[in-house]
Amino acid sequence: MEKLGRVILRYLIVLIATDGLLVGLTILQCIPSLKTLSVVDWEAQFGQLVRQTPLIALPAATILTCFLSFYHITRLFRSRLAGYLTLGSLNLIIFCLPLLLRRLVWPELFLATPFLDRTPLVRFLSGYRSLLVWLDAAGGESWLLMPLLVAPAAWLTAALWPLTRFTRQRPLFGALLGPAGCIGLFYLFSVYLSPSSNQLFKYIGFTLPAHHSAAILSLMTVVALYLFDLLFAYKPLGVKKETHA
Amino acid sequence: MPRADSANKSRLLPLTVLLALVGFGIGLVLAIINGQRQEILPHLGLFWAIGHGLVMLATWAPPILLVSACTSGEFTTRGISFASAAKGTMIPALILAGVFSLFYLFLVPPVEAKLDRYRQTSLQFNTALRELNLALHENRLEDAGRYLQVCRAIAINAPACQEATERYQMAVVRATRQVVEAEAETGMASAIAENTSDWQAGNDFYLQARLALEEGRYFDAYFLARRARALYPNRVEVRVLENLTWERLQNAIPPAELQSGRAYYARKVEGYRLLVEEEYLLAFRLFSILASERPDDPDLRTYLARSQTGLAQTYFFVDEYEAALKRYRSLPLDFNLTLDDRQLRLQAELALAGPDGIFFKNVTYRQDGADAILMGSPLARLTGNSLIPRAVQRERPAETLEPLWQSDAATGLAVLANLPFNEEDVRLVMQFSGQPGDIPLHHLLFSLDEAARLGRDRTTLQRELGLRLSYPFTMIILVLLGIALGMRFRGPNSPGPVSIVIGSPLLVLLASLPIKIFSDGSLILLNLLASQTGLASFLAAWLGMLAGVTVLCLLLAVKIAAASPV
Repeated sequence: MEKLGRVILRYLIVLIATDGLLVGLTILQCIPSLKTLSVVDWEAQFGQLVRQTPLIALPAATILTCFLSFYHITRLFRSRLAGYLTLGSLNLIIFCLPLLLRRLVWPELFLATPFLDRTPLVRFLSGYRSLLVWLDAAGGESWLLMPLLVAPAAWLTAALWPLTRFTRQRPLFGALLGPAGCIGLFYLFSVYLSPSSNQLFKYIGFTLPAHHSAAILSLMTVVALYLFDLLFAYKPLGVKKETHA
Repeated sequence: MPRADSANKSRLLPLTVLLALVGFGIGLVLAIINGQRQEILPHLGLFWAIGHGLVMLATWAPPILLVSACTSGEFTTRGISFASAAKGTMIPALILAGVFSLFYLFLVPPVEAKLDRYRQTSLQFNTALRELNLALHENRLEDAGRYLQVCRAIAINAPACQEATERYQMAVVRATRQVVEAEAETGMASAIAENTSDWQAGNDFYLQARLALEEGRYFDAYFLARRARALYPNRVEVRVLENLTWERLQNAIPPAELQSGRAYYARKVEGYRLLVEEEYLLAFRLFSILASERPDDPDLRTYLARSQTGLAQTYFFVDEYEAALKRYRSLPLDFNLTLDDRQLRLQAELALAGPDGIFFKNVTYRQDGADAILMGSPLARLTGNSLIPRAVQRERPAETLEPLWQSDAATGLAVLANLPFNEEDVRLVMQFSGQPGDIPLHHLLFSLDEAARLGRDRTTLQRELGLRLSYPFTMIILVLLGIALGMRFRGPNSPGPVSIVIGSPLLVLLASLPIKIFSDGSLILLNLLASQTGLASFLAAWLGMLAGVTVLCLLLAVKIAAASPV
């Protein structure tokens, strides 16, 4: 339990820090577009964007935090299942947070609105918009279906863990494969949410909304990555206490 | 420990060189594929491929150095501190970082500019060739000739150009033959039509010829008699009159050579008169014709040269533009200047800066104010602060390219002299007109303010300068983090040669993705600084920030290395 507590605490601290960093970057990006540095000008042009950015950036911050937690969890946990459950659950909660806020507190919050294109996240990570579209569509579903449709995205993020444990002989591969996998994840989301992926389901006889087919494809990828973990990745180290040389 | 250090040194350099060669090779292969798609001219193909390989190498240099540093870190002895590990690796790594930085800062921009020129030249050639084929297909020979001229100016020896020249010449021969045949047909038709009144017409000519003979106009008489005989050849008195007028003509005029010599002399005198009256274009045309008749006349060569010198004040030769097109980079130009609330604008589809001035294709010049000017010309040249908007073909001086005016004040001016800007201003703007990546570093550093005064976007230029200056810092940061990551993710055994040779290119690919994301993220800060500050404060802020980030990364590297397995 102590390990779990430490993981959750560290996860939340890193999440807040990365979300804050992403918000900061968005604000910095907005400043050059301002004609004057007045509050009125600022509010008129970027008020809504900056207020919503902490929630808009939350999925990206979650993915980054999850990646940064992989090495920590590898050192602390001995069981793969425990690691996946911990990270998968944390990711799911954080992914659902903006959707819950929209339903309960802030109905005007829309993740996929036109001004999104001005945020650095959408500009630099072309697949990020797709993830937001997915979450936005899932947020419009029933209470039961919403977490079920969001869960594959959350679990897929956690399922990148074995990439960081790819080979014990040369752990450097894992160290560089992990971040590349996280960046690739955004492109994967956009591929899964594309019309051609949806067409694949139509071809085999299922007519589904795009975010449903994306969820199914993500779930299949999660299973594939779990198998990859069992076959190729080394087991987590699971030391009792964090050791620093 | 010393053994480990020497091992690090020996691995870093060969691995970096190996990866650099792989990067260059991939660039070369991609350039060959890309070159075929972009229809790069065959004689530029090799330079294009090598240039592309070099640019590719510069692009891949940061991940290559990171992976080399990581691999070096993997070979460090267990339990060693970051400082001890870095001591052995840092010096060669920093030398490599310096070499890559110099390469990126000073070699890549001119190479990119050259690649840009090759791309544009090939595009111009291919466009002209396509238009030429279309013009030949539609039998527009004049247009075809113009396009062929562009093709020949760019690549006269290219097989496509030679083939096009042959097709053009064949089309010209065919067209000429058609015209001759058509004229012959027209002549025959008129002869038949006139046949009925031949005798009457012939008689008229006969009577006129006799009158001319009586009046002593022997040339007219002979001409009219010949016309009469042509119309009615069987009339004996007409043949007699023709012989008679010919005899009189022979006796009345000097021999043919003498007559020709006099005519030649008279034309030379006429040319000289035109030269004295400063009618240089007419003089040049006349002397060009005479020179083709008597190329060995020394007087003529002198007068031709003088007329050419005079002509250069108001016209330039189209072949000068074509020579520049072949040798120098062409760019679209939009030059704006505001002087005392007066707006000036010089726009050109293409601008070429050569040693003899700046040539413009399809140029418009607009000047507001009391002395408003609006002028457009197919070709123009700027020398000093004079714009010559006229051009002439050297081989066919009858063909000129003239400007169009839409302002009364300037209409008909030979030259737009004493413009409020000069050649150097336009050259400077041209240096800053292309892709920001093509601008040499020294121009960015020392001429940025001047370029901003002449209308270039300061933010874009400052951003490019900041991007360049960040390269050496990025390399140092990657070396520091690379060594630390190598130590932190060191395996139980050192990686074998096969793992290094096969794995390293893969690691470079993997490392490039996060490096790109980080560099994109840093652009936000760079944009902010570039848009909000002047040059001096921008440089101070940006360099200070880069130095600060480097120190932070050093501390981070120490922390990462401290977590390495023991």
